Amino acid sequence: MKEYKYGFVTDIETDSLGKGLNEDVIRLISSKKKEPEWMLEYRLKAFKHWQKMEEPRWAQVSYAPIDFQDICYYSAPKKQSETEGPKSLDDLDPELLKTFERLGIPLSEQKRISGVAVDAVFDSVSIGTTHQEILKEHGVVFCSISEALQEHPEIVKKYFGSVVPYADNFYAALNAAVFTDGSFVYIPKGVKCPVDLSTYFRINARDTGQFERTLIVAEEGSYVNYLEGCTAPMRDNNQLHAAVVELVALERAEIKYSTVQNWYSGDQEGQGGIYNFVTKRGKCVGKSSKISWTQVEAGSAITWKYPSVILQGDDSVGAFYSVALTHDKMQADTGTKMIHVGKNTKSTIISKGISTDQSVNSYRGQVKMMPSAQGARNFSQCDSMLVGDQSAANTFPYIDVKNKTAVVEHEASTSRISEDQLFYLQSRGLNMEESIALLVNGFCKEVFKQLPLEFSVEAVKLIEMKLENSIG
Amino acid sequence: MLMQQKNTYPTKDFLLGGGESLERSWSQKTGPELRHWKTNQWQKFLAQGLPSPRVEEWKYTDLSALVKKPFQPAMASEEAQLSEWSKGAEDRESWPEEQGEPGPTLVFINGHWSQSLSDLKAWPQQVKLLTIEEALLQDPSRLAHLENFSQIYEDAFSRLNGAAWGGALWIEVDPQVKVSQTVRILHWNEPGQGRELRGSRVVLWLGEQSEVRLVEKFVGSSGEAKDSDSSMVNSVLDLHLSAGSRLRSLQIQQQPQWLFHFSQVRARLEKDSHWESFSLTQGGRRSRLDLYADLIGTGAEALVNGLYFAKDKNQSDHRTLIRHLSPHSQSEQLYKGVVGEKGEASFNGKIYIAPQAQQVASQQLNKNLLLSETAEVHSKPELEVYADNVKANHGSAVGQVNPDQLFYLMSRGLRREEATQLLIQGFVSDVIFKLESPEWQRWLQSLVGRSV
Repeated sequence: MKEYKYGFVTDIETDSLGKGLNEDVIRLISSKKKEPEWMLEYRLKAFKHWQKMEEPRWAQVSYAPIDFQDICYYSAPKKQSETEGPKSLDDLDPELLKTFERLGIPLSEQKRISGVAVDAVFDSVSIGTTHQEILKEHGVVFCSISEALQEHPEIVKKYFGSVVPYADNFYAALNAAVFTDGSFVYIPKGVKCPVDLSTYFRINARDTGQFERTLIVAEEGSYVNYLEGCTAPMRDNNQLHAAVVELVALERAEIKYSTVQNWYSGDQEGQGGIYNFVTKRGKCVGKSSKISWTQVEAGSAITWKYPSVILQGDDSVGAFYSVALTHDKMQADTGTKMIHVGKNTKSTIISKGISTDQSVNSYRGQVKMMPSAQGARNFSQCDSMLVGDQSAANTFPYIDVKNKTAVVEHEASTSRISEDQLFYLQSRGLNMEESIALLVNGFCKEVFKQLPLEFSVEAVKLIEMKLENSIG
Repeated sequence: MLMQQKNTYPTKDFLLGGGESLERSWSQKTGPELRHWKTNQWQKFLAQGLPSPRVEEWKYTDLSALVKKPFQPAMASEEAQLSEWSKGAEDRESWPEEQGEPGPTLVFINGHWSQSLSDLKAWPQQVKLLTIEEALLQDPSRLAHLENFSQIYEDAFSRLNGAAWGGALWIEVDPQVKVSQTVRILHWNEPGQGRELRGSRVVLWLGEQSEVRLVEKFVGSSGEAKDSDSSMVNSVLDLHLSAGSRLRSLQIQQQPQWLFHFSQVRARLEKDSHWESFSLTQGGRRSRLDLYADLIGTGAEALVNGLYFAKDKNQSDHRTLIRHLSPHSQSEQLYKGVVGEKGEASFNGKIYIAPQAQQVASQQLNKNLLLSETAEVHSKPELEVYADNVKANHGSAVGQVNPDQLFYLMSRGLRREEATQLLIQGFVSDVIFKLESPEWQRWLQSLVGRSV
């Protein structure tokens, strides 16, 4: 049995809204967050628009229709939702601290990981952020988006929805209407963020959807390395996770965004698991700015996301590195979009898909060279590996070029794990499982090396654990 | 229902006079079973409509110009009625050289087969030549074969063709027969009575272990027309390769600007059969070539190559779908495009490998050269793989003429245009060299010379 070791449930008193979605629910969420008036108006506008939209069905995934009235849109640990909130992280409910400790993310003062500031999001709210002092010293703002709406409304208002407008797609509209929490990062001009920033998402409550909203703004010449991790308890019904992440990089700024996604993927029969329908997009607004997405997608019953970069500033650079591993009856339809607008913009796409058991793993990506993208350049490589004869691997790249000086290259291959290499490793004394894990890790190396060290180690372990017992 | 409306253009007013005028246009030899089948195709065409760009397969070709004004089925005409026939001799008579006797030429005029203009002196023995209507009267079981081609692929254009073809031929090569000459099919188009629909269908049936070569050419009298007046060519070539048979086929599209060109090739490959296909697209205001191949037998092999040029405001769209349905089958695709001026070219190629199709090797490569600021290229190579013990690769690249190479040639005294031409020729040559026959290679080089 592949064990999902994060499948436990934290028994904690929560303050939840009942199931269902209407304007009142949105007003209530907004008032609980003490949001400014304009935010509520934005939410209601998004909700009106969402009601007019149709659910998209074009992805290579199949699932029963989602009843959006059967989802609870707000759930928060009781103590947290009270007006004041804890003064410091050590005042948090010990249950919560224990939960995050079990997840390997200790929050309390003595134990927390040095060098990484963590924002922990539990169901619908952010419960705390570590390393605040050092961040303040450098003028970096790293807090929950609700807090940012109160403390820095002018920055939030300026950039919120500027990369992913609410009308962008069905799930982005839904998120804009009901988003509950998420992280906000602001790096001032010329600052290299002194520690890595990290958000850890945990879905705990039953029947809740998680709709987080992340906004990262990197001012001129700044740099930030941002990491994201996610887990959820094992439950036999599906839960919806529809997040929106917006990145804004101004002149010469650089944002590195890494995700290790390990939501509960359902059992072997495909029962339960998270629907991970996420809109992630970055905009290289300024000249010579840089945005890179690195993702390790190892969980979720269905993953449906395309972290994208709009390369607007001249000489800006976009990158996408992805490993997507599917097992049992998981389905993944993931990839990226690189929209080249500015001159001499560059993008790189490296995608590695591994499908085992009866899973379906699709790469879908678009590279678009607008007429203004003089001298733009793209290189894409998408490799798929099939383990077992019941899995499927698909590649759907879209290449649209409207500028003759642009150069686009795309390569893809699909093959199974090499018998010769397996035989060689086994003849050296490794067992089948170890050999497969080693070969798969080699296959993904190009992506793993993009991850920060701790994440890289975690990713390798995660892939090894997921591959157990999926010998073809 | 709501979805369907958005994704389609309604076709209820597609034909002038609707279904009745359609039935009047059918050949008198159309038997009752075939009538029934054709009516059925028409009903399906009416019910399904034409796909809008919201339909994934038609993302880059907008068909709204086809529903602006109704079409009328083209009428059969004799040589005397043709006003432009005398002018197009050069285009019509260019064929690849042959070692022995030149092969027979089947001539279609505005979609209708013309026996009088065809040259059948050299028609090979042991090869049946019938109209589809006659073929079905002779042997009604052939209707099932006709229907079977729809199993490979069926869409609005194949249905429209089924319902409204003007000329339709059934060519059957007997088992073990190796035809030494090339069978030529010429499609000639010149302006007719208003906005015409010109449908033609050819079924080529290869018996076991048989061999044949086929060159199909679409040409017409020059001229231009508004989108809402443009006539439309709707051709379907259905190929059946029985076990061990070999086919080499060439399709040349040099249509004039007043035509929309929609053609489909559907092929079924049985055990150990071998198909070498090449298409050259040089004309047509809007042009679409769909190629569907089902590799149903083990060891079947398809080599599918193509070259396309788009200039002026021309739109050229190619789609291929190769389905590997059995083990040990192989396919290779190489498509190259040269796009200049305000041209727009699309390539959408898909390789599908079924779960039972183990030990399959499949390759696809699409390369495009952009020559102007206003040209556009869309490339979408797809892989759908359900078997694990396979090798499937695809690649795609878009770029301009290499400036270093250009500089080198110019430093050797060539003018910019000459140097560019030379580089384009180099770019397209490797697709042409994929062809087995040196005569065909030479002929294509000369045809391509015009576009370069």
